[in-house]
Amino acid sequence: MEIGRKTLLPLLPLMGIVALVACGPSAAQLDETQWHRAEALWKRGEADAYQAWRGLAPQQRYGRQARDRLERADILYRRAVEELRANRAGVRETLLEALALAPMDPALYLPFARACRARGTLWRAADFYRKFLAQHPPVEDANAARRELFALAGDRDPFPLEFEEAPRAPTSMLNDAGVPWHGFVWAFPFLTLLGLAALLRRLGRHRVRPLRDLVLERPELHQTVAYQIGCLRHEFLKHRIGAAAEALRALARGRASPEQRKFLEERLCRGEPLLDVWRMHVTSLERTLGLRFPLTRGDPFFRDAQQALAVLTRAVKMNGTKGARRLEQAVAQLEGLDRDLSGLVAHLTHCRVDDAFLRHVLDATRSEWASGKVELDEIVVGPVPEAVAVDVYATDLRIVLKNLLRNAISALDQSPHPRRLAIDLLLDLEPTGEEIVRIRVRDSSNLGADLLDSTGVRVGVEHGLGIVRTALLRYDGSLEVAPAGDGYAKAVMVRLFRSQGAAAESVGVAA
Amino acid sequence: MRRLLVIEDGSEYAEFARLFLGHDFEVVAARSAEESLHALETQSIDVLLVDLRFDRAPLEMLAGNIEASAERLFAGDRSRALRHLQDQQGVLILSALRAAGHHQTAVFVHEFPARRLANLRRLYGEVRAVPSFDAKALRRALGADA
Repeated sequence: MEIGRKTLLPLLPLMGIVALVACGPSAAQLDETQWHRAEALWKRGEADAYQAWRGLAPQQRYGRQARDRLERADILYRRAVEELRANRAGVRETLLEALALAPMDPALYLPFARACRARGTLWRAADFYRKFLAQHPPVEDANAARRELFALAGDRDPFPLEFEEAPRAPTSMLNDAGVPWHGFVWAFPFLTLLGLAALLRRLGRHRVRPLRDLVLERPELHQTVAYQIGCLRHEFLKHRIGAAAEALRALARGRASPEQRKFLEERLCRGEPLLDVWRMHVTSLERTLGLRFPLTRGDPFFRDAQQALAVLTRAVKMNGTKGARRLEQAVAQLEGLDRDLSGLVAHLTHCRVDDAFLRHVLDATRSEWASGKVELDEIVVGPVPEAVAVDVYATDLRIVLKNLLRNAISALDQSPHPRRLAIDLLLDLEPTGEEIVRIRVRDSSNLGADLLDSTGVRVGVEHGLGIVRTALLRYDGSLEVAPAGDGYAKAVMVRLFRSQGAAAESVGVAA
Repeated sequence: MRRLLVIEDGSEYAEFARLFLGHDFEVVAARSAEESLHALETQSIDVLLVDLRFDRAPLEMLAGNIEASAERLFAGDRSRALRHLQDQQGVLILSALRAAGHHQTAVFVHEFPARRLANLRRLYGEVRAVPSFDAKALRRALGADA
């Protein structure tokens, strides 16, 4: 025994290491973890996504998949460069296909930049030059790229020629100009104060604002937030609080029957604690909005509701012997939150369409590189006879209209001058008393006229309209293509029912 | 006694009317635009109580043109047009009755938004709506107290 212990003693560290390795993550787990990280980098558009993908072990499942996708994407990216150089059509499609597969090899940034420059898409070229330079390429290539970028953007370029040629960061206590390091002693507190001020401003923006404000400035989150609010209202405020409201009022007035008390005890105190369920809903909203401070601090309705829940829970637990006085007010506060949230959701699902909205969508489309470079001779926005609201998430309607505008501009790009584009809105009253809103995009190109049949109007599912049609189905809308007069070749129309809900813009009768 | 024409695809409205409004009205029932027109042409009707949705009515009994509706509103989609005709059938029947010259007050049990109700009044004259089967509110809307 003694000998055995002595023999084993030196082996203990080795055994420990073996045990640690055995308990550590397996190669497959590691592969999966690294893949998720690499995928997240790619989705966030991070510069080091490509390296993260390449870094995955090719003998593992995810690594193998990543390598395969990188190779397929690489072929497509290189084909896109060739298409750009040859000024051939279909670059966008090739690029989109590649982008959907895997990140781009940074080695291709420079060829892309040069091909874009040759094709005349200068700001896209500048973008690739900057991406290339950000990779810290060999000095010779970097200098060439800088010169080309400088030639593109002139004095306004944020990458002056000298910038990258200087050492990347000072390595001694003297900077390049020979200023002694203690110059930073003064600069440091100042910069720290500036940084703190910026941080406080950023945090403050999130802290003191109610949910309505936070949501309205994030249209991309409207659907998610509306769903979360819907869950909070339905599962919590309606089924747990609303259903018990009458009994709670009776309890507050000291008139609750034994059945009502039993009902309240079961509904509010059994199962998942009320405050836990509430916090779960609120946390999910906070997470969606990326808040750093509790919603209950910035939104008075949420703050009051949280206090009300505490009052209510206490009162029910004490069977109305304590806290009953404030119970009625607590119920009213929770009902107030429900009404406020209902109004907010109604507002989110409404989209007000007027001249400004149409102009905004058009500008957003023209700011895209492909649509922006097409020369148009005439653009007409509106008139919208009166501002109308439709029950569609603004983000979705923007996507739909941008698709139509993009198609029209793309068709005009291949058509002779004069190139005319118009977007406006028509309003019709149906025999059912409903009103139909038609948002119409007209253009003077004959391309796409094959969407029309001899009888005139028909739905178009080709030329990228399928996605629009699918999006519209969610809102009981439809898409029509019709011949257009007044110097236009065709009109593509989005048809939707006008909103007549409480949040609609006016109660006046349709003209 | 005043005569009430109940237009619906089932029998719930008529049963309710007989039970709660029977003291004020003689109830006549119709299940389509055609039956309603027949009733209006053969009897003296004072007021109409109209159901809005006709989910159970066969296609051939529905007022409105499904093809035209599909083409105008739903890009040729007949199934969506059919659903719309069913959902709005009460108003479409009222439209047919008004076109035939019958201008009695029409009452719906439906919570129309204010704008929609205003549009209906503009199109079809005296149209009223009560949000639920509240006998007192219905009696008032039907003019039983007049």
